Amino acid sequence: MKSLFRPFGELLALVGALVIWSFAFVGLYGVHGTACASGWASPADPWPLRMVLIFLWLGMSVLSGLYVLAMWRRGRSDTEPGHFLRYATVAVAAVGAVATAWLGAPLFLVRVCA
Amino acid sequence: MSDQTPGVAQPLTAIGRHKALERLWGTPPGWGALSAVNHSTVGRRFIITSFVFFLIGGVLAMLIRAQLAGPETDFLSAAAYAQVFTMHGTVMMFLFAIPAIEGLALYMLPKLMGARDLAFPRLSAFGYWCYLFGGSILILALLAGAAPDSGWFMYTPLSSKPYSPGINSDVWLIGVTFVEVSAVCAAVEFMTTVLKIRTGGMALHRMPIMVWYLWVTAAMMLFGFPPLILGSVLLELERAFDWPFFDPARGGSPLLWQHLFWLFGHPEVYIIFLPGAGIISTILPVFTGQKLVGYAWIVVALIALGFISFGIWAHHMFATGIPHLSLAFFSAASTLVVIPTAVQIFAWLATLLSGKPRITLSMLYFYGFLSTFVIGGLSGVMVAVVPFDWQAHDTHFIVAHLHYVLMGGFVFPVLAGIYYWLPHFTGRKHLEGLGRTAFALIMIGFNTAFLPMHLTGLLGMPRRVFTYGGEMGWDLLNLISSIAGFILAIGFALVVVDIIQVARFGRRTRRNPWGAGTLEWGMPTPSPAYNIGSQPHVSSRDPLEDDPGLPAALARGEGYLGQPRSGWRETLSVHMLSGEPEQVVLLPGPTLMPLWTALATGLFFVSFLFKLYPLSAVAFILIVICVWRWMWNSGLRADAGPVEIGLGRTAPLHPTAADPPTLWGMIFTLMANGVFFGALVFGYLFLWVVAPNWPPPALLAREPVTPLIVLAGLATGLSSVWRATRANAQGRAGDSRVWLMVSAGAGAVIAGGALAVPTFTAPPPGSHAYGAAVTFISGYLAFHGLIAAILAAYAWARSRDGWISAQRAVEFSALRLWWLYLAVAGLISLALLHGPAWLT
Ligand code: HEM
Ligand SMILES: [Cu+2]
Repeated sequence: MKSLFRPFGELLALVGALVIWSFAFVGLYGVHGTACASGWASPADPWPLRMVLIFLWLGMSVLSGLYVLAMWRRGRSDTEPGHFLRYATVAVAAVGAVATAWLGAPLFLVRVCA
Repeated sequence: MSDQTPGVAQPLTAIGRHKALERLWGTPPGWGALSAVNHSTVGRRFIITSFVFFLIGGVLAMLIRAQLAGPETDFLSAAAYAQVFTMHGTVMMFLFAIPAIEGLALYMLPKLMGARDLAFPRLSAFGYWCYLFGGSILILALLAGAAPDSGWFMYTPLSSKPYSPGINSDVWLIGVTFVEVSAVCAAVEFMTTVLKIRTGGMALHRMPIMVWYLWVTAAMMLFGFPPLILGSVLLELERAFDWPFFDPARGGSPLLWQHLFWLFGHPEVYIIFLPGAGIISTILPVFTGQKLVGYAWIVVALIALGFISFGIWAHHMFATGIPHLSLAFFSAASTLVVIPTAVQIFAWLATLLSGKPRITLSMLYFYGFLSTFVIGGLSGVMVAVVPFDWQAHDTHFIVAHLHYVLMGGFVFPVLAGIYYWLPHFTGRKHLEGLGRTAFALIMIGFNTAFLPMHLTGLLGMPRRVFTYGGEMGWDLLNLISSIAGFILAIGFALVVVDIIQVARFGRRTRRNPWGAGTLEWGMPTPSPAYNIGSQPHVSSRDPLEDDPGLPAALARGEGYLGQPRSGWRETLSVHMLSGEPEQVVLLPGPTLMPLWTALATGLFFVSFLFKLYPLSAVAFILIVICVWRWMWNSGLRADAGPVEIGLGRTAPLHPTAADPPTLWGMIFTLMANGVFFGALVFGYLFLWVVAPNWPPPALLAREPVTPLIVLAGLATGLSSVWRATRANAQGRAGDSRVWLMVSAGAGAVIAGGALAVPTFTAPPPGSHAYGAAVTFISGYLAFHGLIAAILAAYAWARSRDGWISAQRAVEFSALRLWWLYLAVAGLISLALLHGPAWLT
């Protein structure tokens, strides 16, 4: 069963950084929404929540960056399909990392809970 | 699969092979046509049916334009107008656009990949019947004057019982859900097919670009439709039994509907757009004589687009009072999504510029697509800028934008595709004259109808309003739009006439008239039921270009599986990355089971619509019986070794392989199910955090008994399934059946333990959204316990009757997956159900 799912795992690795992006997205959106709705944070005192969000975002961005690195380091494959897959994986991972980093922009520009 | 032993291959002539394969793969005549499962037949039915719905949607559009042509028209009443625009939107989106794509993929995927059919032919047939029946419910309701009237996105509370007491909204919820069942089936089908059912040598990087597009589209369908189905089920429960998921007075929230709807609705735009773009990427290289520039870039862009488009759903909710920062995350994703789209446009332009374009009808529609889509994109950017959206929100500006995107991004590429593949469908070549007239009418009509509509919108004309006063100054623009709308309609009518004319009187054409390189053109046209006499081993993306003699060689049987044997419908299954042949898949022949199952499903939905709930229960049992009988005849009753597949290779038959397509089908089904469950968890937490009137007046009673029952059931079930698998692998079939019985019992215990919660310890579902949510989650858990029990009983019966051995054990793999899923979903459910009661 294990060896069976290995190729599928390689296929899933293709979208790894985008999965990290979706977690970052849902996490930021969820934490912000929950904090505001529960009254824990308010526009009058934005910094505690903003720091939490920034840490969350930084963490996710670093994670996605590491993922790109890990995919890059996996080394060249000598088969043609392997070569294509590696290229695509690194490229998609880079897109995912950029997307995750890009999510941070609003954190510095927009007021929380307003 | 009549004969159980692999027969000895007889050498055949090309004609003899054609006859033998046609006998094997053909659809029986007369009433037997109802039993068709062949992908060409089912795909054709899908496409034709979707165009019939397009015409219906078009007639509704004409009614709209007739009504809006002048001020204070009394052609349609306000109520009738509401039904007409709701049905226009619903028919176009759910009954035309998505099914047209499904039909195209059903028909083309195997041909593009040099295969003989899809992974699960009966599932495609079932999906077709669901689509036809669900769509018919909607159209019948329209004829009866009881069509949905709350807009194509059915916002609550407008669609809730107090504001919409009639059956109209129920029709939408039930009809559309029925159709969505077929979309999810199609998604599972396409995911598995692209993963496994290609021809030999077709590694990932050798798949035609269209296959990548359809694969990403299928993945988006797999993830996009379950939230919509969940939303529809919840809303129908609210309407039928007064479970207040969306009623703020009792802890519900109308925003929950909007979230669930747009979680589907925005990706939907890309689900529609991607196949259109795939058609463009397919035809451009053919008509410019230049290889597609940036294949790998496009693949990367597609995958990114597939994901990021899910991060945009709330941009339709800008005007609903969500905090700015939350919206800003969505805006961030919206801006990002432009990049992959731009990558594709650059790739197309580069291909265009480096080649020599031949101006065919398809290319004309390509230019039409490009210009229209750019305008739609620009107005989209305007809409995406938040403050502007507040102003344009709900005016005809949005209507104009939407049609530029849908026509430009979908209808025109599809027309390009129709004219490209028409010779493939019909075996005949069209003359371009009539088609060009139609093209001109469509382009002129479309732009004259919808360009002024931007202005009407900016002048403040709201959408979905059935009439307006003469003093508003909107008359002239509307009159222009209406007249042009009819010109547009005449253009479409001409296209239909043109196609019928070609199909009946066109000149027969030689194979591959455009000189394309992909495998669908390597077969006789119109394609025989079996597609190709033998399957090639490919070593590039354009096999026909490498070797123009390939089609003839394949017809002579010089590829894989060229010798029909044992009355089997055979197609190759390959390694998902390298494309090396791995298995021979034996596909089922014609059967009525998909039709019966769809009828039982229809009975379930219709009885629910008319509130005949005992009948719904009967229908559910009928569905189980049908599915049981359906699955029963697949497989082999004796072990078998590898068989010859041609080109000097051998491969095992799929029932004896470690990962037959069934297993992947199960994996993708569980993924869709997981998305459904994830949306449910999101909804529950969302209500808890955001909806007014929480926490609820009363929680579950704090008791350990029911969670312990469920836990015990999970532990027993899981371990016994594993023991059953091991016993089977060691050849102790009797022992394995004992363990299967145990796990069936455990499934029933889980169902019982889960149902005890709403029965004994939860507040009634009608009292508060909490009670409703708790009941729903318990029901979900109970349902999955029940299915686990049925699957175990099924495996037991299969083992008893000799369909299972140590070598043929896919039932066990599937059962283990189901139980794993049940364990994870069960633990999360327990935490959601009992956590709050124990923590407070
Ligand atoms: C044949 C030409 C068409 C014309 C003249 C047309 C016209 C219209 C008009 C005037 C409206 C706005 C009604 C109102 O808000 O008062 C509308 C709504 C809509 N149309 Fe079309 N349309 C056409 C084709 C299409 C196509 C091909 C699609 C999709 C693939 C489509 C999808 C929609 C949707 C989703 C709505 C929104 C319905 C709602 O507000 O609930 N239309 N159409
Ligand atoms: Cu959208």
